[in-house]
Amino acid sequence: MTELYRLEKVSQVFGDRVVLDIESLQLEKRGILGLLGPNGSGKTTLLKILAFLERPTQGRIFFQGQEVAPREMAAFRSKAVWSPQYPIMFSGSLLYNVEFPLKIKGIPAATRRKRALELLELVGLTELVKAPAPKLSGGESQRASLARALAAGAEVLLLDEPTASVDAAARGSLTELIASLAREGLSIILATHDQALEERLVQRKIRLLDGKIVQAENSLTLVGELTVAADCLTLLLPPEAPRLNGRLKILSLTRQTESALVEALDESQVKVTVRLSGGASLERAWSLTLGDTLEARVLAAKAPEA
Amino acid sequence: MSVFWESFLAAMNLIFSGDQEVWKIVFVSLGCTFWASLGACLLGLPISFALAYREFSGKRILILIFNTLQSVPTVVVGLFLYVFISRRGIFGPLDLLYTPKAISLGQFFLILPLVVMFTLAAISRLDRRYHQTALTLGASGWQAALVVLRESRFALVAAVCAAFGRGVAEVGVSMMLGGNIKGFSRTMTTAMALEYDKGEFVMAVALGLILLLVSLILNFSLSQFQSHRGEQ
Repeated sequence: MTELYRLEKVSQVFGDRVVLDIESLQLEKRGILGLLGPNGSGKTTLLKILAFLERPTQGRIFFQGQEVAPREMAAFRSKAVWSPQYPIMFSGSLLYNVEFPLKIKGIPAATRRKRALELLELVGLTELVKAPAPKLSGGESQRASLARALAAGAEVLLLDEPTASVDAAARGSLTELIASLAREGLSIILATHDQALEERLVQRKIRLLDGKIVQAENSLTLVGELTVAADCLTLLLPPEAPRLNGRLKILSLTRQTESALVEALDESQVKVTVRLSGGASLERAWSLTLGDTLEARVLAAKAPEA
Repeated sequence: MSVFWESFLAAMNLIFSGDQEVWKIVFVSLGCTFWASLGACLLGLPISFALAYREFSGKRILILIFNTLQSVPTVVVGLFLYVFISRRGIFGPLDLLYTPKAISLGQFFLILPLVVMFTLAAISRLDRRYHQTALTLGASGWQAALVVLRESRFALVAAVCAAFGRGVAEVGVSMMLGGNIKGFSRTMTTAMALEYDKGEFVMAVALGLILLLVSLILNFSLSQFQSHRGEQ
């Protein structure tokens, strides 16, 4: 898989509040990645950072293998287009809105009109070409927003709760449209609370809690040496896994989980799910007991090779 | 009451007979305020945009200064500028004093804080996602700023109208910097003040009516412009 984004020690601080704190994160091209987590967990902030709309307080961002310096962010923007929960439509017709990204690039009127009409046909809004864009319904606005992002030449769509403002009837067709765009090779990262959308579309997931990643299923393969102590499992990783800091430490596992983990790691390529006792949610327990090193987590872990 | 009607009818006669002196005063007055408003918009809009969308040190102090300057008396502006453009001032050699240019300059400084603060209020009210949407679609900083200005155009026009109204109705700056020279730098307000001093109410009322008419036209145009907002 080709690298789409790589974030290293990225954090975003507003005043005294740390809204995002990512030690490392690597996202691959193509497919649909779900950004999950409760309100205030940092999903929108992360989307805006990925769209190069917000400059993180610190950290390095790589896009398609190239480091994006703060001063170069503008050059990458139209490649990764962000669409908010309630897409903003500029005053004017729908056609004006879809033509907008082409117009600012200086594309001749006839060419941009042809392209805009093609895109409107793709998203099924041909009959609303002359309709005032700010008066479109939630579902129509989402479709229009997708058409406009495609007109901008987006290679990545960053969708923030795309179905939140859409009624049930339109949700199905919008979901299908997003799926078809992904099939055609577009990378899509979507933040959502919509479980149906998550189940239907999301191929890989990142779960955020209080600005930290508490779960990442992103083709993470851990190959290393596992040592087991009384209350601590340590997986020593080779240096080529820098984003894991070379070491994964899992603390406070119950005896039952520990046995399950060891057993699972004995078998090659077994997906291990850690369950903690005591009724606490998995994310919460991880964030409390494992801290930053949870990055590596044991989901999708692979046993040490012989 | 008869004095009012007498003055009113005489004023109408002056206006519609195409009295040279009256229309000269009107043109000087509107011309000075037009250039002052144009200058204030050209400088004020970028300042407002920077205040709304950029973070820089001294931003709060700058806002405080512009806020304070909104209510500065016109004679204070006139007095300060007089010091600079009088013969002994550093801009004395430019020979600006007692010219329509001096009036425009004074009104520019009078209007600028209004344009900045009104525009800032208009831009700040607009959802920031308009700016972000323009940027994410590939717009440059300037293009995104134009999108914001376009989306706040109704409030901006109201701001410009208010600023124009403040300029065209002021007396202090025009009197102190323009000198109220007949046929050259006499504006509607300075002429009205003079005619009042002379006890010539007819001319004063005629100019007062024109001033009211200008205000009415401005407000009518504004309401017409804003009525299009509902249709969009």
